[in-house]
Amino acid sequence: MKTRTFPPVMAAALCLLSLLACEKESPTTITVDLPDSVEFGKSVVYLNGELTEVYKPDFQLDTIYHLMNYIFIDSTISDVITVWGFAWLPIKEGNFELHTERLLYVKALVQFSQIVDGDLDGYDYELIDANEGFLNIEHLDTVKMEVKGRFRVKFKRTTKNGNGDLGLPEFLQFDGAFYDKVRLRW
Amino acid sequence: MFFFETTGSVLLSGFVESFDIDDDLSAFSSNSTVHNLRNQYKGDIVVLLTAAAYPGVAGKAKRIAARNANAYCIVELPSAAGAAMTGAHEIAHLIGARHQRCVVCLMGGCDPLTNHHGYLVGTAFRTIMVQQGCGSGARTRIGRFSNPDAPFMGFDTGNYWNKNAKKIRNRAGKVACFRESPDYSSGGNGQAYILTSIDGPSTVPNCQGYYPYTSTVSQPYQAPLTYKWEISPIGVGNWTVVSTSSSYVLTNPTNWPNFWMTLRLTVTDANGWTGFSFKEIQRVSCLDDGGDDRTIAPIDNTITHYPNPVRDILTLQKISADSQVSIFDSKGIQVRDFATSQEKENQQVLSLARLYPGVYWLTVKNTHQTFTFKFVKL
Repeated sequence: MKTRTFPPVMAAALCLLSLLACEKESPTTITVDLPDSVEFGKSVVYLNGELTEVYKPDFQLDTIYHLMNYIFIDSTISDVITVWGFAWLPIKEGNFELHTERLLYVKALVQFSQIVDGDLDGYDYELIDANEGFLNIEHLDTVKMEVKGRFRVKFKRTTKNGNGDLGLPEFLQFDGAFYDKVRLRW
Repeated sequence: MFFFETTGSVLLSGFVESFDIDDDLSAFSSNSTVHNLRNQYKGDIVVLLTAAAYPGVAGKAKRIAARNANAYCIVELPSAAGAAMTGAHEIAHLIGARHQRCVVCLMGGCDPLTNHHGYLVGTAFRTIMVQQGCGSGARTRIGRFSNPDAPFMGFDTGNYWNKNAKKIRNRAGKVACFRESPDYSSGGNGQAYILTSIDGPSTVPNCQGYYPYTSTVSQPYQAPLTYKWEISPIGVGNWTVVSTSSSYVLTNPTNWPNFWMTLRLTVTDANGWTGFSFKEIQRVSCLDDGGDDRTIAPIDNTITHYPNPVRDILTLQKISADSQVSIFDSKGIQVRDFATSQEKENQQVLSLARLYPGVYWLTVKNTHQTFTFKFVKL
């Protein structure tokens, strides 16, 4: 039986075109109607406009470097830990812009981490549309160890590690309002 | 046994950890200060020991089977050398070891085409590279890399598909050449190990006796030497000092909290260089009715046995008429006891059809000697 094949050059060209076609643009920012306030311990997180309950806040006051980390953790999938949030902020209230530079006390360092099987890479996501995101610390009480605020952050998946579908779409937009405890980290 | 020399340890000022271990590892491995220190101290592998507490992870290696440019890892300090053995785990990743080989390979580091994975040991233990999950359940990590040639408490610690030790052995030389060796003779930067070994019995009866363990220390070292002998339940790392002389005499194994113990010898010379040796010792049932002082008789290789593995019948040859034959399970519990009834001269046939499948130890005792071997019941 005779089979028809593409010449190599043609195949390469088709692959290149296909890759270019798959390059998606950032989706339009979803408008989320965050509540004006939340009760203590009842923080809310929205993923792509839908309320999700898997991300638990872990807000840390680092006593060595005197900084704040605002972290959200999903450990509901066995063997996969998804962590994202805002790091290296000063211990004060304010409206902070988002960025990815490792600079202390300047804006909010946005990070996303997925750990598979204890100590291996999960999917990588990077911050996108930083100017559309924000972190607003409305109230920070370092005596009662409580913090209140709201945020928006958008991520885009950059790499897959080949370990199967870890349950998140290519584009992520997290919105949230929080009022929760702060723990010491040293 | 694998030894890593610490070529130097430095407080890395100015490096601030975040909550993202990926990001921190990337920053650490591309830090020019770290690169300079690595060159200065001639470190083949670089480890950031951190007080940070990363969510859900105690350590991470830059990659499995690292090259020179990415032989970096991060380990949380409390987990580095504790029961989690995270330090050895991450360093072994860099050398080439992988996690356990899953049947359904959805998990990270589980490559079905390679044969250097961790191994589940018995029902309660796991080798250093095995992570929780993928069939491992809640198991105690033992200080072993998977290795089909090195059983642990009567259980195999590896097989054809799971042999971390071989991978580490094969690739250690390459990793050791990432940087040239430190020059210790001219006051080098680190601390060298001296070579030691322990001589003594691997099994002892569970009764009072005289069971000597002696040390051998190889040159070079600077006298005088100091010694420390410690015991711990195997795989636990809860050490108790039992002697500080050059030898150790075990007189009462009945005090042991476990049927399997590890004896650790630490030797330190005048330069502060150290050496470690380990010996795993099994306490077997006391076959001596008087409990008087005696040493374990040397193994008599003239006694032979077949087949192994055994299905129903095990035959012992060249066994004397006054022998007492006992079988112990892997926990050291006696499960069978046979008086000698030789149908043929110097031969004993044992029916093991009703024995559960597993790994067992058989002990032959007579007035002259005690002979022990391991067999597998199918």
